[in-house]
Amino acid sequence: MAEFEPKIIAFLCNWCSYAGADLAGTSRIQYPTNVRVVRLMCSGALDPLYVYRALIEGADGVLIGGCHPGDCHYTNGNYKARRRVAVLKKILQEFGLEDRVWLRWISASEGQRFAETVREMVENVRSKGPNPLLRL
Amino acid sequence: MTEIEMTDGNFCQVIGEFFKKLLGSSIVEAVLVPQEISGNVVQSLVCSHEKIENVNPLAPVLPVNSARIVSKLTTKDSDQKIAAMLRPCEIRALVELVKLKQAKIDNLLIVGIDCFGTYSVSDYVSKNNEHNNDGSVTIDFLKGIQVNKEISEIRTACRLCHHFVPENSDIAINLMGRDLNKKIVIRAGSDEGKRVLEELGLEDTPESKEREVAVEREKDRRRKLKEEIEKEAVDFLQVISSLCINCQNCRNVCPICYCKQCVFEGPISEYSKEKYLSWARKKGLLRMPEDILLFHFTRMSHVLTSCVACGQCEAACPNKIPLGRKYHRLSNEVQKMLEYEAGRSIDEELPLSAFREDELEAIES
Ligand code: SF4
Ligand code: SF4
Ligand code: FES
Repeated sequence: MAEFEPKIIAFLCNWCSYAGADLAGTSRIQYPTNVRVVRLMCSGALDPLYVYRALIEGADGVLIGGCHPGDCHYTNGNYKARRRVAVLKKILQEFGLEDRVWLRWISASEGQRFAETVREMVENVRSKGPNPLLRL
Repeated sequence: MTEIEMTDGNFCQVIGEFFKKLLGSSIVEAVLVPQEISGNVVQSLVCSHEKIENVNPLAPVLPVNSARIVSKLTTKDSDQKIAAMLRPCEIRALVELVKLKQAKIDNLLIVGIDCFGTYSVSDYVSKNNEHNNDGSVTIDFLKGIQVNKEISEIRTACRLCHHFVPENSDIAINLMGRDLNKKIVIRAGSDEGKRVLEELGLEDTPESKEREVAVEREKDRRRKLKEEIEKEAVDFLQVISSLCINCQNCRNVCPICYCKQCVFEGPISEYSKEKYLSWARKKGLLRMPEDILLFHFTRMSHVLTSCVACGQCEAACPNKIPLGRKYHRLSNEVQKMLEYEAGRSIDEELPLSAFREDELEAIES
């Protein structure tokens, strides 16, 4: 059987993390191709429903990227996102899925950090195996 | 504190008298009180004191969380003042609804009461029928409570509840730590309450020691019960996938579920046949109806920060999914994490619109 290739959906804020991912690309930093990026204007614009939908449709992991604390271009979207994600992870914990959702602050200049995050996450999710919800 | 002397078991009458007085005083235009109607005890909106005939706020039954009723009565503007008799979980839900801008309390006099727990509607009604609706179900229940008898019909949500004395009421009817055959106590909980009691010619004096002791003892007893109940692990994923029929009763009865239009009724949950087929292809098999898990995840995200653990969701579930217990624990955990407590204060900001810069650092992976 072919080795399990995790599918990661990344929700990245336009101003920092998406720009960071872009920088990783233009600087030709190598990172796994397992990640599909969805651009949001701000991490604060993330409706938890997006994450649930991704997991239910079979994403093996979800990465949420936003500006570092204090740097959000809408002043405090990332602080609010942090609370929302904290609640979301508590809920997912009931279903054994909390470690499949990661929140990371990645700035526009951190192409390297974006690539490392993806690498780290892909390995971590690979070791967990496929998303159990896919069966449902 | 006003102490009202009792003759055996006539507390319902005494409370009824209080509401009659209130209506007669023209302080309020109407009162919302639980009364015996057709073998059950349900909320009734009454404008004339002659219609206060069968008040019974002590019957162990809670057909609806009345925060929903107060929301109905107050969302459209009105200058007329009304008084509402509410249990602690109803007041707490109401506080959350006010913050969610779905109820107003400016013209509401909240009369709270200590709560000893409730049975399911069907348990209560069938017991009541067995006893020809003679009121003995309430009396037996209270007698049992007074001697710490284990009453198996009490709903799990009520067994777990540690908010059984009313907070944020204008007037509170105190029962804990009292011999219910001797007297009940009516106290002011706010300046408005004080004013009303004065106007009615009733005095207010401080809380008693016996009551404090009784409340602490009761909290302790429930803490132990809670530990026991939480020992039974429930695999929620398994339970939901096998038992949930997606009727959404749990959402319909929840006092907190606040969206004017639920996302699951809107266009985002209408899909084309091609969409269904693509899911079916991808998964090999698509469980239908397909949105059950998404529904539960989303409902939890929406209500946990304000959930008051009243257990109405569980009471309404046709397949007896133990939602009340889940929401009790999860809402407690979530609210503790965000240093919030549903129903505690009107002034505390809803936790998902607030934040602190130095918190939850461990959430970043
Ligand atoms: S989720 Fe259930 S326990 Fe919580 S407030 Fe709504 S009905 Fe009550
Ligand atoms: S009431 Fe019960 S069966 Fe109906 S949607 Fe809620 S959990 Fe599912
Ligand atoms: S703009 Fe990046 S987190 Fe708000």
